[in-house]
Amino acid sequence: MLAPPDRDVYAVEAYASATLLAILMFLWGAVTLPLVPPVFHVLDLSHVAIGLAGILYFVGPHRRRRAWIGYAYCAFVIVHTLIALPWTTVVWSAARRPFEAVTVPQVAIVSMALIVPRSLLIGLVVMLLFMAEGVFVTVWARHVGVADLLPVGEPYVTIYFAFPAVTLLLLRDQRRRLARRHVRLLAETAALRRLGPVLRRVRDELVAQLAVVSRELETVADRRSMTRAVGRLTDVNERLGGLVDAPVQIDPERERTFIAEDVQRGALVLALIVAVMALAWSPIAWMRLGTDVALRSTALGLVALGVLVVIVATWRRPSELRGRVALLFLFAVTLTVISVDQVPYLHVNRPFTPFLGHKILVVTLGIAAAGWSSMGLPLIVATTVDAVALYYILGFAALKDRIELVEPWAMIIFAVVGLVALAMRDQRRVASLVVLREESAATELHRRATMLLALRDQLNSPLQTLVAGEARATVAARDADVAALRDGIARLVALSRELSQIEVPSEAQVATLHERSLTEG
Amino acid sequence: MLLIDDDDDLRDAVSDLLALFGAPCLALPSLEALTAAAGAAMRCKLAILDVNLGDGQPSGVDAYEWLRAHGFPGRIVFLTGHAVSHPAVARAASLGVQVLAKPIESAQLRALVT
Repeated sequence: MLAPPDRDVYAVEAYASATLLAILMFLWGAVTLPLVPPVFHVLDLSHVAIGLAGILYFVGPHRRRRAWIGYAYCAFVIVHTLIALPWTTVVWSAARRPFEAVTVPQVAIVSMALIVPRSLLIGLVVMLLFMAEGVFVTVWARHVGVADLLPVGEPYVTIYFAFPAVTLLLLRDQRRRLARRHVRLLAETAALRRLGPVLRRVRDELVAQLAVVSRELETVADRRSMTRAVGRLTDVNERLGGLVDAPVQIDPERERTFIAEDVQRGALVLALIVAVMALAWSPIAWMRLGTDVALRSTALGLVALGVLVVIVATWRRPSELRGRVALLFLFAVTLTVISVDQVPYLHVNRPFTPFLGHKILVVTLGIAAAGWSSMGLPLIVATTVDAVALYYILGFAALKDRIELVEPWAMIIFAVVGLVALAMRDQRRVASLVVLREESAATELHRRATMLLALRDQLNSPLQTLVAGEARATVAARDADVAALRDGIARLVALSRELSQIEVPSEAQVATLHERSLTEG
Repeated sequence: MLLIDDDDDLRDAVSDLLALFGAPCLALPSLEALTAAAGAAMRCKLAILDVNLGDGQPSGVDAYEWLRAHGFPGRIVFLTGHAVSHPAVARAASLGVQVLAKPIESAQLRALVT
């Protein structure tokens, strides 16, 4: 059974997943409908209809989100696509265009991380299912004798898409945990902040009653121990007031370090993915595209490895500037290499998947680029514009017998996935900063709560002295009027009892909270 | 009766009051003082022990164990300013001994000694 805040987090996530899936379905259906043969029209019309219905429902206003509706929509679309894909592979292979069947599994592999809600494991399984269907294209093409019409590098190219996809899956899982942690922290700090007004009222009443008791003590003959007790109570009350009034300070250095680490982490992710992909592509490029492409790919992989070494070596001294420069440098080198590598495809007399590097780069930038507006958006847009420009400059439009009919729109779909990944990363970054601030506030509030416990206990011994002293005065001088003194002390005792009723987290609970934060971080 | 509390003012005020109630009181600040005054302490019929006898000092629970180990014949109660969740108070409560929260009313104190 989920706690209500967790339920809300999952419902919001389910609707976000369903909305993205609906947008991708609609876009894919609308883009391919005018380009593909009539045999696919019913399928593409169903994509448009399912996508449009999803957009209208999930984007519209909701009084209460129900996670199961989002889950059901995602499950329906995923199953629908998993069933349709083998059929499209068979039809395209029969039409001697098996290269048309590889893009949907590739988009699905990278977008599943953004779509499958709630569970890392389910996301991984669905991603693997789409990867299997991508590999099925190669298996089927070989089976029906059209293997030479598969795009260069298949099925490895499709499998490569799993690398950024798994990174995305892990990041999304991290964001999910972060959101849950954020909700819990907010509740925790809100509960602690509610102590403030209660403590202020108790403090003010203590001041008033201590003044009454001090005044009335003038009438008591033997009052030295009681006067000292009042002095001690006043001192404790002043310290209690100091706890209540001092503003909660957030350490700005912690925040700066977090931002620097986040930027460096982005550069590390980009360097790692580029290094692995470039080095893995080199032998395939050497066999299918020639030595030049293989050498460029190897060089790119080595440059990415170099950046990776620099980032890892400086991991304990994170710098926002270093992270940004490393990411921009690697982006510039990568974009140059993958753009130049489009040219050899013109001379390869077989089908190919254009802008493979661009597609992987836009998705990777969505995972790695720091900041939505400052870096991520311009870099993804620049990569997409570069690919579309190359499509027309290199005359890919005239190669429709070797590349998919949906190009360059497929590139734009990948750019959309990259932008959504980027928005998700930005949300995670902002949420992390908020969690960082809430953690600082919670730590400070817990420290004060612990001090409050100690101060509260210190009130009781002087109070006992006053109670015993007042009783002694009453017994010793039966005719003395100590009613006002007794009332003042009774009021102080009542305030002490009220303080003892205040629930503050114990040290063990504070430790548990921090431990939970660490394990969920 | 025996009172052990590290607070000088509290000890004075409570022992004076108990004297007025007709219950002369041996008021001590620590376990060390108790061991020094063991003979007089063992003649008391009631012991009121503060749970916390100061930072780094043996606690009221230690004093309780010393008294029982040395055959204290009377009743023992704990007195504490700490919340019941405090570890020292929890330890005292686990002994099955009555734990009273400071401040106790004079009537309650009188009821203890009569």
